[in-house]
Amino acid sequence: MATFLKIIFFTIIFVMFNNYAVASGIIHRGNNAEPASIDPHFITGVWENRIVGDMFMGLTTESVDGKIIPGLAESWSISEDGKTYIFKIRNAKWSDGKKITAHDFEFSFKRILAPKNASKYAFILYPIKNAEEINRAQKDVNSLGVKALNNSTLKITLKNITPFFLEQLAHYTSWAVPKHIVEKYGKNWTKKENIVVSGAFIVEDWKPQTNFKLKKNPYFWDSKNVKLDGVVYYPIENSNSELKRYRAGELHTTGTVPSGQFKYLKKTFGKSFRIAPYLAIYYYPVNYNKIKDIRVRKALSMAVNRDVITQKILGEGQKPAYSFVPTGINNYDAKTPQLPFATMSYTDAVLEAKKLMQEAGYNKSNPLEIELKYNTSDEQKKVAVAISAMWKQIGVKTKLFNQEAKVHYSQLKNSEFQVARASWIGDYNDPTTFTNLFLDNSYNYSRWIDNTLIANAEKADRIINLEERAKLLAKVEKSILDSYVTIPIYYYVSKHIVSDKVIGWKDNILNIHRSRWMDLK
Amino acid sequence: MNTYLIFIFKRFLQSIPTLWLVITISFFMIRLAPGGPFDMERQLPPVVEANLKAYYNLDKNLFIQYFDYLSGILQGDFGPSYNYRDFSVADLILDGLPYSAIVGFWSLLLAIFGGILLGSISALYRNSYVDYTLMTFSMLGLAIPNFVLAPVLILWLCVWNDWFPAGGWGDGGFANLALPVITLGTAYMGNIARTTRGAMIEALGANHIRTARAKGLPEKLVVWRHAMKSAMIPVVSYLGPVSAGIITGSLVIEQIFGLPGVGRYFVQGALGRDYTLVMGTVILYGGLIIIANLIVDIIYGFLNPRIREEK
Amino acid sequence: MLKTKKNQFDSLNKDAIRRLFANKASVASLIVLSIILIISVFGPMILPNDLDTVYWDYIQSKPTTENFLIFGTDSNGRDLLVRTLSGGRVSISVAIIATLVALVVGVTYGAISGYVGGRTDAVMMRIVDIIYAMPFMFVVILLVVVFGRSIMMIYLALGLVEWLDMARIVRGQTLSLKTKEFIISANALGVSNFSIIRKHIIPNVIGPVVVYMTLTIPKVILIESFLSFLGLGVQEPNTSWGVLISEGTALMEVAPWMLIYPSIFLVVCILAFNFLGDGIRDAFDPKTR
Repeated sequence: MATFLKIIFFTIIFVMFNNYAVASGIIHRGNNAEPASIDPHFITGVWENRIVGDMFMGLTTESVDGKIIPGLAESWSISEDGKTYIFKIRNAKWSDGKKITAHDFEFSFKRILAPKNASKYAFILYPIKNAEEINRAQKDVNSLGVKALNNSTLKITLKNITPFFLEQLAHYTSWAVPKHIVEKYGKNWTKKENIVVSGAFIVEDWKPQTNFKLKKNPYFWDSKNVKLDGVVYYPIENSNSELKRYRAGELHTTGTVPSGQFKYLKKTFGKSFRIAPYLAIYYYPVNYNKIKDIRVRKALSMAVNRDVITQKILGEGQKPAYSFVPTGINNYDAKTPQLPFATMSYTDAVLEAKKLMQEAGYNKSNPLEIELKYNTSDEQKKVAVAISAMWKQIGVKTKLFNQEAKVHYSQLKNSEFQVARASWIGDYNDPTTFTNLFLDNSYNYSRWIDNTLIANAEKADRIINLEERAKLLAKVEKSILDSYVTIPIYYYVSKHIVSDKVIGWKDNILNIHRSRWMDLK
Repeated sequence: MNTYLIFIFKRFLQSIPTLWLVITISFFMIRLAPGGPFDMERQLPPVVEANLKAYYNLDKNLFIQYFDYLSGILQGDFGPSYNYRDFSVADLILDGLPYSAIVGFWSLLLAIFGGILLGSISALYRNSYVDYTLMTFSMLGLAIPNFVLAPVLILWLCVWNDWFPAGGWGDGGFANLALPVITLGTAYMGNIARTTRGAMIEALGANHIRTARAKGLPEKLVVWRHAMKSAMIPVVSYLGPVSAGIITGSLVIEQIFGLPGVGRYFVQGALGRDYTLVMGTVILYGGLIIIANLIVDIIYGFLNPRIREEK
Repeated sequence: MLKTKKNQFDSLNKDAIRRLFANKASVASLIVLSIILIISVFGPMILPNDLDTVYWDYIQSKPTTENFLIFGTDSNGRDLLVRTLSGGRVSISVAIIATLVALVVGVTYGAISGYVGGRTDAVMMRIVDIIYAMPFMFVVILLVVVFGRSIMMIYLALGLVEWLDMARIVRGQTLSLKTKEFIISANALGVSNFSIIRKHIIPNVIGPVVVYMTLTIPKVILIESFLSFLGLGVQEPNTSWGVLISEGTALMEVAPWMLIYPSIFLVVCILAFNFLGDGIRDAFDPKTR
């Protein structure tokens, strides 16, 4: 009898503990593609950022609602001229028990900028002193403005004052990699048996094209606040298939949502259907050398019915864009420059556009022939078809040209287009991530070089007073809008389905949702 | 028999220069396509792109790259993937091939047995109600595109009814593979059924069948032994190259059902201008085709001894 | 002697055509295909909407009699009926032209290779092997580079890929025909190789070739839709059944009409081609007399 009772007792305890473990559970997240790499210095996409961001961390990091908070640095001080930062590295360990030091950070910054490593995103760190020269193999890597003063103090020197620098440190280009592991294993340091991380989770298993399993890292400095036991990411490319798997109960969150089904999704999923503004713009650059008449460019921009596109064609909460820099961005004035016809009614705008086209010599019987290029995607197609119908009214005959992604991006880069579709996701929460697209660099697809604009932008880089800086940047944006070399169309939204079992997913403008803040009901 | 084996061996030797030609032509042709591996939505500054090209030796003379590549393959090194930085081409293909092969194998079996069965019965009951119904049924599998059938099946059997998982490989068991295999298999089953039916009808009317019937052999024997053999020739012709395609997987099936496999690399590699990955798929596919051709020739020999004799 | 031969040939043809029209399924298929062909060619001309006319208030809306939108509209508010018919023009013409290219090149190539045999056969088949051993996506992209993104490119690309199968099948049939008595005797009688290929081999391979052709036409339609799905197909505002079906599949729960109507056309068309092909084969097959 006593044995029997003991068995019952222990079974109950056993079941209780197991249930407790299960309740803190494992979250299943839809991701949209297979990671090409899990080395922070070689990742490029949002889908990689999700996985690797659960494993590694920078000096600063994102809070649950996307704000920048201390990460591996517990505090910092900034010099008067804004160019020197001193960070105090907190008392934290790698997942093999070794201490995380400032030397790890120095090593990491040098590694990502070393030209022989050919990191695609190294350019994000160019604000750091000598970073660009090092990446160009013009200066030695040891001249980099990043020095470990001792194990727990890191000094970073910048080229110019950079108000958004603390945010940049949360970006994956600034995450620390373990010096002792990378030096020991070289290219193989990210293999499951070798890898060592600083974040809340670590690789448990990686089955390419099937799933990526993460398990809790007990050495994480804040592990007592991490509720989940593990995370599983699924690289599901087809958004309809992903949604079906969510509905079948196999996923807690989706990486995206199929387009064109907004009403149905809202009705079916209600509050689980999360739409939030996203720091990204969808626009049509106009090739300055192919369409030289500013009246034509202006007419093209005026004839786009942004309301119809955002409400009827896309209808997912996207906002029409009448400026280039999204409103609400940090370090910028709330009343940013807008296209002058923003307040006009669409019918009036079309009339005005027709007049402009006629002045330029074009009308329905003598139409302007334009080739509009976009990359393969149902969404791009819908927008392009709609806009070509809108342009028909003002005497423009549009030839639609869809191409595979690589060809499209290559033609954008080489300015082989008249009007094309492009988009830009902000790298950090500051207007320069958008205005820099119009400097003399490869992002300036329109190839419109305005020296005044460039001078203003360079001056803004050096100003210490943030208000003055914002005013200068507003001037820069006004030049962009006045030239009409770009037709801003709409601002993106991030869209996900998030099960109501999930706690700790807060919509934010960067669309970053680290698993460390999440829990399952 | 000896001369036959020598013939097969000679054909095998002949296929080595074939494969080499395929590799060479592909190596140079893929670089003709516009766009390169590093063109992305987020444009790279020229200095970064130059660094990347140097890293992958793309800045060297094209012929040097070619010879480097060839000597690499001979040592078993198929190069790093340009788009999947953590993986070599060999990693990607060897990892994914078993999955594609398993799905492909079962799909092929379904297509062959289903197709031959339906085709033979239709041929026997030619122009009857049975014939039309069976042929229409097998044709539907062919006529409905994969990328329509798959989501419809998932919607019906996985979302509205919880009978199958909605995607993923799982443990590779019946539940996870049933729908992909059905989708893929029925697409080929129609072709095999028709080819079998057509060839069977001809074979059933042929001389040696009449002779066999005249000899008084039972009908069943006549059909299954004599007609089947001749009828299989066009079926085998058809299956040869098709099996290489099925084994290497289908992008649509893998994408919609979320299965690992190499099918996606054929498309992603070419569209992504991942030169080494494309070469890897070309070599894999080319090798399988060559093997399939040899097998087809061997089977021809068994089915029609007169061909054997001629060689 | 020539005259009698010609009469024989004529009466064979007349006989075959009679048999074809006696086959109910073939006749039904012919009628259906003619209907589809006629409405695809003439429909868009007489219907009030153009294939790119946009109805801003009817975006992705279900079938209605207003504005003659009886098949409903797509996600850009365009009439699905006109687009389905226009898509038919593209899908069918792509399939027919590509198949003809494949037929002409493939049958000739395969018959010569199989009949001549020996070294020539080995070399010719080696060339087929080389092209065949290259993955389809790869070949298509190269053809895109050479021919550009016109509809011409699609016809040619698909034809240039499909002729290989045709050649192989014809060669296989030729190989087995070659060993048959009547060929051996024709040879012995001193008939020229070219004549033998033209008068005896080709008519006798017609059977499986016709069957294969009717397999090729739907195959080409499906391949074209796969290419469209990848973005390598016809450019907007032109469309094809494949494009319409890809769009419709993505939205099948919210806009089922976008999937159903083009799919019905596609499936019916494919079934019809198949039954017709069967009928033709049965009608012309010398062995079923």
